[in-house]
Amino acid sequence: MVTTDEKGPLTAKKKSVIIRSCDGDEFLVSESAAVLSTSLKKILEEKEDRLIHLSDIDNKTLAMVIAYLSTHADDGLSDDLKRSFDQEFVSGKEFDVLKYLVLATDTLQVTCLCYTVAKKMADIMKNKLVEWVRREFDIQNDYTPEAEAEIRRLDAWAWDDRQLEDD
Amino acid sequence: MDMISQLPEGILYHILSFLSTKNAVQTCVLSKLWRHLVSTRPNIQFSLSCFNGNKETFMSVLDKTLQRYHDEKICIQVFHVMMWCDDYELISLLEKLIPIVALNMGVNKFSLYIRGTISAYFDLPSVVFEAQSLKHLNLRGFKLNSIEKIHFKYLRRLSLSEVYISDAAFEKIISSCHLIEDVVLFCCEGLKTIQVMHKHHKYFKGFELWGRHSKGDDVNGISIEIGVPTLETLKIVGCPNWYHQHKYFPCLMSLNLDNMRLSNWSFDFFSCNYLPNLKILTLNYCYGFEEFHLSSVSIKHLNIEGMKKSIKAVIDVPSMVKFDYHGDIPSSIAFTATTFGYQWKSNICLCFYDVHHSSWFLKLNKLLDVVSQSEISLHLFDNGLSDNRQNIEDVLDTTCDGLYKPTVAVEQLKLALSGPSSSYSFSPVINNMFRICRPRNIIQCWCTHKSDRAGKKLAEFL
Repeated sequence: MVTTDEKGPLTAKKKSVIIRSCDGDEFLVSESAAVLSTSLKKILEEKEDRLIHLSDIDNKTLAMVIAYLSTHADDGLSDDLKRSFDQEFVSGKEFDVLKYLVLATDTLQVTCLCYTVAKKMADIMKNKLVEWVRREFDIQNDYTPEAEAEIRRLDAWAWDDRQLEDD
Repeated sequence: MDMISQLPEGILYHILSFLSTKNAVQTCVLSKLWRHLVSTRPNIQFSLSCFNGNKETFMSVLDKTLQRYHDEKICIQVFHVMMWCDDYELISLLEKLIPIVALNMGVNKFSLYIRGTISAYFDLPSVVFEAQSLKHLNLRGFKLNSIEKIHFKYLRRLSLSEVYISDAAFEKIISSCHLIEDVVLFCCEGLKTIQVMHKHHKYFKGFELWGRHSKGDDVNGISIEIGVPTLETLKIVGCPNWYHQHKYFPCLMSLNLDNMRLSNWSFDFFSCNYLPNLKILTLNYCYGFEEFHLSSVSIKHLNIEGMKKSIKAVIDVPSMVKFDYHGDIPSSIAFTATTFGYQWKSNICLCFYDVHHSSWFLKLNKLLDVVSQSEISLHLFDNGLSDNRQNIEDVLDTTCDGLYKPTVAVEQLKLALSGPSSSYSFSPVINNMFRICRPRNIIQCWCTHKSDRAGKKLAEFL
């Protein structure tokens, strides 16, 4: 299956690349969008092959990354529009989705998207109780109660009376 | 492994860097892995405010943290500390802790904002100039007098705020850092003449200079001459002596001048002959001229604020998309561009305080007529100090001297009348407004809580 990216049918002039996800689906991407990923840029510089196989990025995640790259490669969009696209892009996404997204940006070396997603993940954790974060992200507490109390005591300044949310 | 801890360390450090220092330190309790991350994170950001102003704890935590980074040879990439405290505490911090940070091989952002109790400026330990990997240097409250050798060759951004720096020291930094992109100088002392004329700066994009002088005080200002062809944004505030004759800035996109003395030559300078790529021009509280003719085919966004009432302006900017005007109604303004081929917007913001005659509305009528081709947003506000509005003649004489122009459609009329007294009547103002404009939307907002009653009255009236 070949899916065109959001910009519709590609003109003959524009070079394009085919990217295959680990699920086997193929995506047609303009070269100008692909080179925004440092890893893809390197691959394209090294070989003439127009088909790139990514063995650790699934369909859903790859489609999101490509939508991001295509938007950022569009010269017709202002920086303001791109910024609001970025905000919209990460808002309302499940933590799980963000996790695969941030892993993909790490593999593909898309620095600005990596920052945007990491910031979104930090926003989710912001001002939350430790218990909430552990529960939500399924983090195993490997401290004994005594050890945990000791850590809280050592950094007592970080645990003052500030209100934290538990929602 | 849980789903978040599987992420590579680099990403987890990123996530931590977006949390406040307090939040980040709290994550120590999540699990041993998180404690390890927090204690080795490359971003060190502390401000006295996250210790609720407790200086003792702040100093001891900062001291312990930096000592540990030093002992365990942990890389510091970002160092950001903001503090105000007694002079002796600051001096001990500077002597002991700054070398640890500056000599840490990874540091690329160094921001230190300090304020003491007695001294205005503190000598910056010269070791900071030995930080080879430095890319951003942001300082407040320091004295930079003579610099022997600068080791950072890759500095991109220099921001000095309330710093004492000599001309020679500034020149030394700028000429040593060929990759510099942005320079911000905010209310620095010691600078007399700034000259940035180096041709070898290939990436110099932004320059911002805030002088310490106020209008009319032409003696104490800094002289500036800048001739960097790669410059894209330039902002100068309060520097009477800006030498820009015959300078050509092919890349300059945004020019912002505030509290600057301008001449007719300055308005020639804004044209495409010198600034062919200028998109945004902002002139705030500029003085020294009675009339001006602005002509540019590249400007898209023109902002004018705080111009003298007596100004006569001719604006010939055919590509304009947005026109922002704040201040008094100018005595004469004209747009000579024959056609604006597409929709443009004008945002007119006027102070209301001296309105005690209906002639004010005639002037406004004239101004609206000039911008009537645009989508107008009109914002009227008062400072609540004057009760003169009560004396507005009730009816604007629409027949006088043939000056009256037809009513103009206004997309948005925003009224911010603070109405100091309950006896204040809106009807003359509103009636006169409706004689000169047809607003599609009316928004009211209030400057002070005192005006609740007045607000209700206007709401009822409308």
